[in-house]
Amino acid sequence: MRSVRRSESSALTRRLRSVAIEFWLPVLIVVLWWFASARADLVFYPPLAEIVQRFGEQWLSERFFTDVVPSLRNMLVGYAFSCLVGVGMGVVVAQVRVVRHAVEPLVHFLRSIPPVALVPLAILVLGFGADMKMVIIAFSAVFSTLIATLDGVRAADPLLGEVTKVYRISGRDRLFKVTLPAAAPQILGGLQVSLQIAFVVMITSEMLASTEGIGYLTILAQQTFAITDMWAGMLLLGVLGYLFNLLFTLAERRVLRWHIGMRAQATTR
Amino acid sequence: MVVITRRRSSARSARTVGSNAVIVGAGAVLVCLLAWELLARGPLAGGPFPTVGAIAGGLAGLAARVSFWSSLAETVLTALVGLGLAIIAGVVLGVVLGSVEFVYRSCRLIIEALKPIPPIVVMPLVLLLLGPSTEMGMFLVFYGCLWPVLIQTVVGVRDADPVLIDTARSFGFGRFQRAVRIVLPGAAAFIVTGVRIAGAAAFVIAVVSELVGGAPGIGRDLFVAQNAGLYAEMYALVFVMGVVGLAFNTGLGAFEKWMLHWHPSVRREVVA
Repeated sequence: MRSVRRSESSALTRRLRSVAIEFWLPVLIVVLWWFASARADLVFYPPLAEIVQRFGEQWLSERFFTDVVPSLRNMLVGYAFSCLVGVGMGVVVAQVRVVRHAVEPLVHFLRSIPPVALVPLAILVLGFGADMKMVIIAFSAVFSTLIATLDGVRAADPLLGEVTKVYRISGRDRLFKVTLPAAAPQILGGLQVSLQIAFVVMITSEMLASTEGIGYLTILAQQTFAITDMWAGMLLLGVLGYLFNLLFTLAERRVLRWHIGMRAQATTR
Repeated sequence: MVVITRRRSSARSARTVGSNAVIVGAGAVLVCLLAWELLARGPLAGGPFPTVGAIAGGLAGLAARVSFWSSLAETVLTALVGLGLAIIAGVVLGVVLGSVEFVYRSCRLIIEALKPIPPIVVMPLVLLLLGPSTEMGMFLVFYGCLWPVLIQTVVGVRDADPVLIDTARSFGFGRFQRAVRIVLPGAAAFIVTGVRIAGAAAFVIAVVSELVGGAPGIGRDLFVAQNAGLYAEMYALVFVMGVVGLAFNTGLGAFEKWMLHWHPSVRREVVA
């Protein structure tokens, strides 16, 4: 009884120690930043306390609805389109060899253009509105998903295709129960890259052509030397970038649970 | 015998498929160019779509200008210098983080937090500190490329074979020698993957720093062309960026093969 309790308590101390090891440096850095920036009178590094206060004033007020929400809406609508089109086109194109040969060079070339460089062209063609931003986000982000889906579907185990043929599985069943799950790890990799591109293009489109949005306010603050506002904008964008990645990773882990389990089994064997 | 003939015929069919792919791909490109030309002349004439001929003219005009080539060199240099610094810093830091458990676990959260934040987010601050200069661009490339190299190096170092390290230790290898002779070659495959990921981003980040941040290079030329309303030149510049991006990706693939020609994963490919 006593030994059980002791092992429990030692497990607890071990747990605490591991948490301490993980957290001491980040906490120390924030604390140092907080106090050092409060004392020092540096123009470009305003006190962290002020940044946090401006963060609250700037983003958690009516600005939330006039700037943060439109930014996120543009990004999510554009990204959703790129996911649907990328995966849909990828699956179709991968099945038909002629189409694949026709599409691949074009797609690889378009993918090689820095996505941000397309923003000026999009302004030229579509103007400065929100629809331009959604279109350019969707267009820039689609290629990673498309290429990953193409490769994923094509790289699937050929045995799978033969088995589905033998069992006469076809149509929707084959698509949702065989093709897509087999390609899922690669497709999700492509979707993650697309998400990062969508985020960057959202910021860029606002910095280059806008009168609203998080990117616009942040670059405006930089240009007008409103340093604390600029830091608040960077803080929000940083937090958003982190959160998008976190949410995606969680969703990916959920979708690929079977795959991760299978891999673990294979390695232990 | 049968097996050999079959293999030969399959090789031949693979070759014809390959040439077919080239023909079909080239045909598709031609069709797209033709469609563009027709649309630009017909229903969309006078709009923001210059004809293919006009874009080619813009391209020729660019190629004849010295300032274009110096801009292009500036962009490529920004990307390569930033990437090179990121590789050096990433590998050195990665070896330290990967070999000392305490340091790794202390820094893990910071790396995890900073990794998904793209360079454009920190650009306002860097712009404030360094101004719209080549150094600003190089720093952004460095920042963006550091994480993939660092993380891959850490993974590779932690993946090192403990038996090899113990063997080296019993032969009297010092810490530094172990790192250079055992750990680094073992982690090479991971590091090169990190470099490939980082390299694909390097050119893109260089263009971002020029287009949005105003550093000298073809990105800024694009911004200038947009403001001057030189449509054909804008398309020509975007085309050039596509070609350079493609060259970067192809070059990195070749670099990966060349660096790892001794590595089992590549050797097997060559044999098969």
